Amino acid sequence: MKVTEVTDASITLEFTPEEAEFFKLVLLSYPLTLDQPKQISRFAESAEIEDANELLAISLREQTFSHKRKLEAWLKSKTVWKSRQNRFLLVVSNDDREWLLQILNDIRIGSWMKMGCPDPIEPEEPDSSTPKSTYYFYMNIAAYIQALILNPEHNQPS
Amino acid sequence: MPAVTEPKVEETPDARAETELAPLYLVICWNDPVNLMDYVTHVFQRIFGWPRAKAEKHMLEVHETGKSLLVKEPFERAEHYVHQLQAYNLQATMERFQ
Repeated sequence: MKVTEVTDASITLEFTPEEAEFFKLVLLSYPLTLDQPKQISRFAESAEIEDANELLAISLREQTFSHKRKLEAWLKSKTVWKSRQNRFLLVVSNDDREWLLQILNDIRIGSWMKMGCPDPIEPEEPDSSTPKSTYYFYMNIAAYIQALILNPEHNQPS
Repeated sequence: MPAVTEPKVEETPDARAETELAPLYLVICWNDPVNLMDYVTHVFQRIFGWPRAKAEKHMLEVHETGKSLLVKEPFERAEHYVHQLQAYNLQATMERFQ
């Protein structure tokens, strides 16, 4: 996985076929944090805050479903995924960048939660026979792609 | 890492006009061990329109002290910001300003 082009309008990432399949698998695990309780305040208590908690939960749930629909269409789009010389090019437009970052972060945080919220964050790689190992890889792949998207100019080949 | 000074909590002109009418809320971002530092900086820039240096200052404050007070706003505007921050999966809340 690497950045091959950065323009004012988009970032292009290159994947081997195996990396592309694995990345799609990671993305399809979304959402992982949907069932986490949503809290608008830690200390404030009032009827207004109770209503705000409900509104927040509804808003985030709607956003998650919207992102999921976008993601499913995006993964099938031939203008997003381009095949070239046994490589796949993924074009992330500026319009797609924010929701993709949110999805990747959901996967990163959700995977961390599935691993039991280890702190510090970089535990040793779990035994590959345990379910935790899947989430370990999801968490790190999500972080790697997040870093490429956030700092594409630092990850371009010289 | 550089020392982090107490950031000035911004009060927008609209918030100042409403100060006499409604209670204000602090929008706070709390630390967690999982969000990437660059990601948190990006989110602050995106939501508040801050320059990178200011966004990084608040990000470092979250990282080093456990929380950062981001803005002080009336209820609905604070609620709006918390929605946006939580949409990015940051640990953000609004707390009544005494």
